Amino acid sequence: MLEIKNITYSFGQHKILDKLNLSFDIGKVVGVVGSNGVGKTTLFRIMCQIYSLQSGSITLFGKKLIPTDIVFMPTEPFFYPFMKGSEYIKIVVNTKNELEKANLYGKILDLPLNDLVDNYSTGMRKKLAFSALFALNKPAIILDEPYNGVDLDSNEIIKHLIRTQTGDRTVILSSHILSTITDICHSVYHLTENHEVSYYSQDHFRELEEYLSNATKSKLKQLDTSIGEPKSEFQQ
Amino acid sequence: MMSSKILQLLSLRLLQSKRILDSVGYLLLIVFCLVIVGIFASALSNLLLINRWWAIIAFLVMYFSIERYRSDKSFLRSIFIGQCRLGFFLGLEYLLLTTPLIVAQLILGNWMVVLALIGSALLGGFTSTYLKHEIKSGVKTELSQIPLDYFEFKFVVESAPYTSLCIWLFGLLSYLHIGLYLIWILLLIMLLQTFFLFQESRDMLHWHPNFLMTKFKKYIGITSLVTLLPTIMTLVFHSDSMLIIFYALFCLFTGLFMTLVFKYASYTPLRPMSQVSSIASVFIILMIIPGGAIITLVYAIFKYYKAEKNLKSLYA
Repeated sequence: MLEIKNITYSFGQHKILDKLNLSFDIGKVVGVVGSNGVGKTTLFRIMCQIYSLQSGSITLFGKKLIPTDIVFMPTEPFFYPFMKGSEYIKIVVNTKNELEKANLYGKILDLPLNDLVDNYSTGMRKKLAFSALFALNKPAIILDEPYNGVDLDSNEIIKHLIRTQTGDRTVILSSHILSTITDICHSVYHLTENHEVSYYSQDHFRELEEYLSNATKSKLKQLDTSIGEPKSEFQQ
Repeated sequence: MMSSKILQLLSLRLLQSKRILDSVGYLLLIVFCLVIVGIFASALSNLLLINRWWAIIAFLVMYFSIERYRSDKSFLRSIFIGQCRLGFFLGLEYLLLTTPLIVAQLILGNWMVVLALIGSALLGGFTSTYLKHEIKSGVKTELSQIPLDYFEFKFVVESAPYTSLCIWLFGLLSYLHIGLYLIWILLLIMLLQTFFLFQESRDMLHWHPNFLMTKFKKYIGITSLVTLLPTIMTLVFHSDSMLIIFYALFCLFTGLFMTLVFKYASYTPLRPMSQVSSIASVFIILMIIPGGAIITLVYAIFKYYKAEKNLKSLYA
């Protein structure tokens, strides 16, 4: 089990995470949702030790988590300039088996692996990073908004791969499209601006959807009251 | 496995260099090198005669410049298990980058410098593993005193307020020696390239006829304000070098004009500008030669019309 205990993190005076406690079971896909700026990416960066831990602990099977135990696919993956897709895969993977898997994922996702990554679109870069990183045989993998910019077909393929190829790993993923989370996750953590965390198991996803829908409706109602009906300024 | 990973990465870095050279074009590169050698030949030969240890300073400048801007540390950390392996790879990478300096010192027979360079490169690699690349968060101190009209200047100063203050304070040291003032002005000219690297979105631009000249006039004001005190101090303490001071200021304003013009000549709302134009760098180097600023100014005026045309086609 991957456990996060009492993590607090601040940027200067601005507290992003406050005594956060989460746990992720092995072999499960867990979603992390929340509004922009609640600290999802910060949490992921702390887990991968891109940011240093300010307080609290992160353990895997009771031992301190080391960066090489975890794979992180950031929202904007890093690529060297003038590098081919196939070269990226070769550098990221560690074994022949991982290489074969990554190449297969790349092929399924229609990637021109012999082209320079510089010529790839945003979605293609995302797919390349996913192909290489998801093929890695590590206990935990974090996918930060893996669906952003990716076409509909590939989205379905990525979802299918996560659903079927997770095995005994823990997959943690964030997305702003709720259906992409509820379709494949076993459970979801919802983080709020007030540093509150709600846990929803698969049976309670309907409650999360209702909660988010009601919150949006209330905001929209406030908005309509404040700005009123638009006045036509362009028609004579 | 890990040694093959190091070899893979190093060969990729070499391949990258080859591809970059391919994309620039070898003929252009040879011409550029010849021009640079032509300009700096005498300076280089003097430097070699003055002190053989200059190579170490050159290495340190290169090392800290790369360290400051490299963004691949997180990626590399995810690939290499342990600091040692990462340090070894980075050391080898810096050693490869230092090869021209090492070869030059080998030819000159400065064995001690060669050993110091090899040692510095390897040590630099290991030190690099402890230098974490600062990831900018959304939190920054806003300096409301700088109006949003000067957003290029404002954003850079806000992102590094202490460094900006130190750079300005360095200008105040020019009372000690006129050379310090010249170095400070050169530093400002080079920094201008960074200021105007940020490309605003189409909606932020608020184009109007004469947009470019208005913007230049605005920036003349703020540049004058920044340079006023150090310039007065230099004029007071080194009044015999008045002409040199004025030439340096002329270079600065020419550099400002050129940077603005270059930015909008290649402006497109579709993609952000990711690097300083190499042509702009050549014209900055040209300004070091006495009178070279006139060549830069003439070219910038020619580019000015191109920039106006570019903006008109986008906004008119």
